[in-house]
Amino acid sequence: MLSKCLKYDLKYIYKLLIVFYLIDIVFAIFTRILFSFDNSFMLHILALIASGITISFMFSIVINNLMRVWARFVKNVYGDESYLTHTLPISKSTIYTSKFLSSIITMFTSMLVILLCIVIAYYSKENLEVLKNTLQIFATVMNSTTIKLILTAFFVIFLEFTTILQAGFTGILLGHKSNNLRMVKSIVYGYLNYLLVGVISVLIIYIIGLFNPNIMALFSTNINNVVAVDVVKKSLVLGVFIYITFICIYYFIDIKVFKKGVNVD
Amino acid sequence: MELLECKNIYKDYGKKQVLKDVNLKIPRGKIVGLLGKNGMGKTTLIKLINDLLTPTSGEILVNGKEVGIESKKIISYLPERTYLDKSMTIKQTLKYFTDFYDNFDIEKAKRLIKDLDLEIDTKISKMSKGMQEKLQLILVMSRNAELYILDEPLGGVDPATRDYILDTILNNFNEDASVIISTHLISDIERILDEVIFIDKGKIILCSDADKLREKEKASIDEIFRRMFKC
Repeated sequence: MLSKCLKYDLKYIYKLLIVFYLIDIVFAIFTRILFSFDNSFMLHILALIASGITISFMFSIVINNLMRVWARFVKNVYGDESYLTHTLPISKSTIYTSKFLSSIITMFTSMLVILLCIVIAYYSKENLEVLKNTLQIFATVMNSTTIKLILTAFFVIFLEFTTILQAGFTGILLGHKSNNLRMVKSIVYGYLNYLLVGVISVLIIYIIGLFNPNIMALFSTNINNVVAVDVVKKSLVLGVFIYITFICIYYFIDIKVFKKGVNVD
Repeated sequence: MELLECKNIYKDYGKKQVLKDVNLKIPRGKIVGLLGKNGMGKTTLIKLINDLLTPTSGEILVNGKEVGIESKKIISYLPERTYLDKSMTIKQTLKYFTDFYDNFDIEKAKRLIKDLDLEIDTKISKMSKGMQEKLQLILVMSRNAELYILDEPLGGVDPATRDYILDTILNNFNEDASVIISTHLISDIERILDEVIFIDKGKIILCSDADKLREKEKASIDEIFRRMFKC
């Protein structure tokens, strides 16, 4: 049943997102074509406009992805459509897991499309060389490779968005336990959940820092002082671990809250 | 074993108590009218049976089991509002019901849709509200369920549509199944009811066989209702 639920959830979210994907890809292609004419001032201006649109659509993709996933959740679980959702012969955890997985899958593809658009619009030997050189400096300092660095950045950003999605879901569930001002409370709880992840992450790193002076250096030195590379790496790994833990904790809290039952409008 | 049993159900919204100690038994093979004025708790009770609300206290058993996956397999529910995804076509909606309900009879649904002169590729958002409600009724009645729960199926519709709705219900429900119809428009459905339940201010105030009640009170259910609920 999970696969069936997932199929319908993905269809709903992609129905609009694909339009955004296509527009962004088209503008990325325009950007590339227009930038290739380097002897025309007007075409250069048009290239800059196309480039601006490409970048703004990248943001739109992420924002739309987040909003559409949450809107689908509210509509399906508490709105008119909830009368069908909750009367389907499937468990509450299946309903929730489908929403959760569909949000992760769509966010992942959105990020891939954004990456693809960047490549289409801006890939050139010179740009690649600049990027390589810049990343190589960081990679050398971090004792890593440029590919690893790019993958890590991609993974961290993806994790950040997944945390935002999850904090939003938990906010909606907690907000809708109340009998009034449900949407306002959902938004407030969502923000608080996200804030909580950040605060606790810093707190955990600080507590570890109490036993490890190198990590404490992150708190006691200013930005101009060099912090040991090993510490940055450790903090990054710790941060990733904390975020994944939080995503899992929120997931299980949500399942538990959801299983207790809903009160639809 | 009763098909549906509600034991000491209470439902509060904050300080407001909507249902108070509701006890109810619905046997198989009956058409039951859940009758009461607006805002007396009919929809709340129905939502509780369908897992759309959680009771403050009490127990609801369907076929002897708590409300859950098993009860949802055998209950076919028509809510007051339109619950279909409006971005879908009728065809996609039929596929959706086939995917999730093992007892959904797609051929019956297609036949009933054809009777309405509806094109299967019509988008639900392009249909009028009345048509959407009819489609919803068709989908609900095309399931071979054991219990049909219809919440205000006649609310806000013209007399001709009322006849269509009643005919669709009577001609399509599973013979061994029970039907609960919640309404305040009693005169329209009186003729088809086997049993009646009167609900007032969140309490069940009367539960009776429809014929016996008529005989006892020497009046129609509609008249009895008007007498009991006189403002």
